[in-house]
Amino acid sequence: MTLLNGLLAFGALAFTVPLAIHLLFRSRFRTVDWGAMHLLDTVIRVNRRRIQLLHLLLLLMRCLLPVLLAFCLARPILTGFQTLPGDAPQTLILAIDDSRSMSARDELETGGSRMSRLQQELTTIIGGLSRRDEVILIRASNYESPAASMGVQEALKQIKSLKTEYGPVDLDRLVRAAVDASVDSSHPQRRIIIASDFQSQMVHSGVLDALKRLSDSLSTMPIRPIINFLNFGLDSDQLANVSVDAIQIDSPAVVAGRNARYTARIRSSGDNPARDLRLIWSVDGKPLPPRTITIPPRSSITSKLTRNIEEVGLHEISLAVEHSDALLPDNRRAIAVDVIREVSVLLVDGKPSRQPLEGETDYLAIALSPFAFGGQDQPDAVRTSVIREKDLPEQLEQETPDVVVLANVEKIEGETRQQIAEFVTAGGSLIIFDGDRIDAKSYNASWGSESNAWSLPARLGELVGELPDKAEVPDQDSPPALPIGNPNPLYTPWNLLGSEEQRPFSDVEIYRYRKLITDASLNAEADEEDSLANSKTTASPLPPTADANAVTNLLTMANGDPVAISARRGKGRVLQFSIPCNTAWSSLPMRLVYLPMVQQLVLDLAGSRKQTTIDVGRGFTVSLDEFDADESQIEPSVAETPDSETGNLITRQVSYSVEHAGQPETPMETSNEEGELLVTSTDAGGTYIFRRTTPQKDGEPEIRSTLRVVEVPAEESKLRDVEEARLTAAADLIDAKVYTNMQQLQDDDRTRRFGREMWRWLLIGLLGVMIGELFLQQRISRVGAA
Amino acid sequence: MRILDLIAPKDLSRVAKLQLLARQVVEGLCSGRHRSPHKGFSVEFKEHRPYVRGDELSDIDWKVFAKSDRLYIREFEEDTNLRCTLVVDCSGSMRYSGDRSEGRSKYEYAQQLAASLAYLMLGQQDTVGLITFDDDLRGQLPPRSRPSHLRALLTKLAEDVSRRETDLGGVFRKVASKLGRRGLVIIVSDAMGDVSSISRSLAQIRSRKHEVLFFQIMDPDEIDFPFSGRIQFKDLERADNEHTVEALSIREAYLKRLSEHETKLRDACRTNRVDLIRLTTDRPFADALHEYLALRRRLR
Repeated sequence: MTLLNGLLAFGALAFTVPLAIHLLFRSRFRTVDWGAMHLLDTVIRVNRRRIQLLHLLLLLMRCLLPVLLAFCLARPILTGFQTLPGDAPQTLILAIDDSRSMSARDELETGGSRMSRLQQELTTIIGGLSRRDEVILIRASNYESPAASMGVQEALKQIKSLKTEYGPVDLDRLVRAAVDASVDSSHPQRRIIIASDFQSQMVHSGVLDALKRLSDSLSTMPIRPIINFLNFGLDSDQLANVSVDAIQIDSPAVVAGRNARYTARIRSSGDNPARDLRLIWSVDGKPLPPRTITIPPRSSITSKLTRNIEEVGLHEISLAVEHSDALLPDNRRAIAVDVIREVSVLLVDGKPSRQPLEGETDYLAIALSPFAFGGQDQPDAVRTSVIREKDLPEQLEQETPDVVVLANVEKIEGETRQQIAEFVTAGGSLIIFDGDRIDAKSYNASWGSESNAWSLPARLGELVGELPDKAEVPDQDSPPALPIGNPNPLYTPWNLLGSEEQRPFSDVEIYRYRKLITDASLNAEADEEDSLANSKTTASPLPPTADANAVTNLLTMANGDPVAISARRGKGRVLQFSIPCNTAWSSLPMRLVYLPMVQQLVLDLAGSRKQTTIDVGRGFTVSLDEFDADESQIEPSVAETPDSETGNLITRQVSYSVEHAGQPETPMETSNEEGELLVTSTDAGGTYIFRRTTPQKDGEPEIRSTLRVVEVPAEESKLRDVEEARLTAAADLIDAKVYTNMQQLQDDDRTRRFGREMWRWLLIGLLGVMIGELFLQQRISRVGAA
Repeated sequence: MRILDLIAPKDLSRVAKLQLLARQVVEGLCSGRHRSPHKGFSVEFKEHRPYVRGDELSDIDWKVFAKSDRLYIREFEEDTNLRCTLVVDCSGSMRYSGDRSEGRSKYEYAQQLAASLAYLMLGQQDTVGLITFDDDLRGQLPPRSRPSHLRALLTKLAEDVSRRETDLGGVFRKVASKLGRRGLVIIVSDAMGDVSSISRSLAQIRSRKHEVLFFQIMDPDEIDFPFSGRIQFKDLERADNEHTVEALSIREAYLKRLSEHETKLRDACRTNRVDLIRLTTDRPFADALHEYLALRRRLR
């Protein structure tokens, strides 16, 4: 224990004053000749010992008063609570949740949001730091970027500029980022403050497991940081909020010049009905006539929009709700819609038939253009043309389709083969369906000329399985159907077919398929010992980022043999099916899953695989082709054009830029040889507009643009605090402490750094002794009366 | 000693106006202003009653017999003298004198009270006797009705008070044996003693048909214990008994003890049909006396 004002402790010697007074007065008394001693004798005899005890206690209290007062003024500090020297510089790591829920206004009257309260309180904490201290600021929206230490002033500046445009935050990742940052800090005293509103999605069960693992690594750290949770989210359930949770495109594809339908889901979490809300749909920022709706308490409604967009390219569709609630930013949501031209698919029928559904591509044609087949008014996103094998060269010369489908075509040779190879290399998509007419040797040969030669993703192997006799009724002697597996979950276009648990292909019967042999399966066969394991490896989807031309299994048999595989070739893609696209070898075309499967596949191949609406925090790419979406000719990044006056060639450098949420336009560079603009991560929602500026010889640059919409997931709008016990459990895993009050956090920090000041307790003790002295004095005068 | 040495002339004149009327008629030899329960030699007719065997023939009212042909006995009411004995406590505890009693000790107050009563009663031709006591009987004057007897009474009262202890119970038993025919016994004391013993003695006096008045003389200090600070209390009856205490620390206990003592004393007096009058030395005794006599008149 130390004393801040040690000299004042000598004041404790004043205890001698009451002692002296007591002794002095003990020897001084007045004599009274008393008559009623008959009564007094009894009283004194009965109460003598108690009176003496009370007087002793009273003397003790009176002596204690100056002692307590002196020690109170001397400000003693219990240093047993001190972990480090109090004056040592410290590193304060602030990990701040800047997700959208932090902009919730707890007090609607004052308009103060959680973030403004956070800014205010962190400003107070930082303001209490010394000049030797350093601050590391980690925002949840960019915790992957390297953390840099800064001074107090810079930290204050950055705190003031915090925004709340990020999506859901994982607590463990935030804590881990802060812990990682603490390793590089300059000072041995390291303190981490996780400032957040701790919503329920932030502390899910996976987070607890991750924190447990983090705890193990924390225990091995040479200097373990002190971690505190500062909770700003209380009573979230009481907040009334209206949010636009989602906007979906009901149409399978948005085709230019044709109506497409959009559905928005609007939710109200208030206990009272949200009446007379104005809904305003907007297309590319241009508002449509408003609508008025009422949402019952704690429920959702949907609003639909049917709209025809004429221009090809990316467009923004947004919906805004005019309502003053706890969380304003989520009253508007937008999506980016890729408006495409009609997808042209050329179906090459290798085994045409005049009978309905007997032709090789009949089922496929129906699946790709179902509305046209059904005579419905709705537009099909795909326009199919069925041709015979011999007509293919001529057709390719006349019009370049988006996708060419070879269905049970025996062989492609000569000029036709060269044409298809060039078509794929230039960016076209080729789908090959197997069949009984296929000449495997022809397909397995190399495609294209030497410089751009490529081979199919898999070599065609032998046929597997027996076909049942169609003339006979299926009985026990019929060959059993070969079990089929699940689609690759990483292939997102097929996610709408159903999850792995739903087994969307479970009712598909395959009796025969061709074994597609990839390089990976060859390696697997070579290894006899691990054949089973390797075959499974082959079956498993390959990471798309492993190799640009890597083969991806889209669908496999239960034994791992591929049913559909895909690979990039040149700028295009080649897909191989090990089964025909009719019912010759399987029942797939007759199953419900067939139509969405081929629709999604074709739309994906035709370019609609663009990820146009991205969750905040994720990165994305923008293909340079998008700037020429409505033109067949793609603008090169560097062009040489003759000068109009001199005739000399002038190099024109094409430049790219991005603009986001009113921020200044930022120049961008193409990221790789593929000619893409790469945005590694997004830390804020909104519309990102990418522009390409091409100088023209007449001086006026040509500007073309495309866009992406980055949105905060709807989970952020569901304001729900994590249970206190769960948060405490999470904190306990890493020896953190949860605070809801900044003052309490600072007090604890002070105690940790400097020890615990005792003067308050002494003052309370002093007051207690004073009251006790008064009480005892009164008690002494009443002694024996009870 | 003259009576005026003990009583102020103003008080004496007020005392003279008072009429002492005993609540019960006591037996007396001389006719006076007090009525006697005994029927006998008196001129004042009281009532007739039927003759019963054994009655004196001389008491028969023959005139009534002549008129009604029935035998009736004539009864008369006779007046008697009051035979009063003043029993005055002169123990050491009676020497206490507080600040509020104008330097008058409890014994001086008792002296004045007894003198007033003696003067009053002698003026009514009642017989007045005196017994002073501490732990034993110290002085005794037999009841007389002569006016000159007042001087003897006052002289005995004026003797110095002793420093001995009080033994009220024992003394009262002795007093009871000394009292003659039944009469009025007026005890003037602070009653600082064992109440149960006092109660038994009072019962003994009462058993001899004496009417008893108990004037309890208290100093105001003894009633409210106004002391504070460190006080050494020295016993007025025993020189070796003293206590040095913080006065405030025992005040409540003392008051409680006093209250218990008073309660017991009141109960003892009520049980024995003894009138207890508490007088404090700061109060004019004549006023207290006046109040008492008014009370006796109402009770009559």
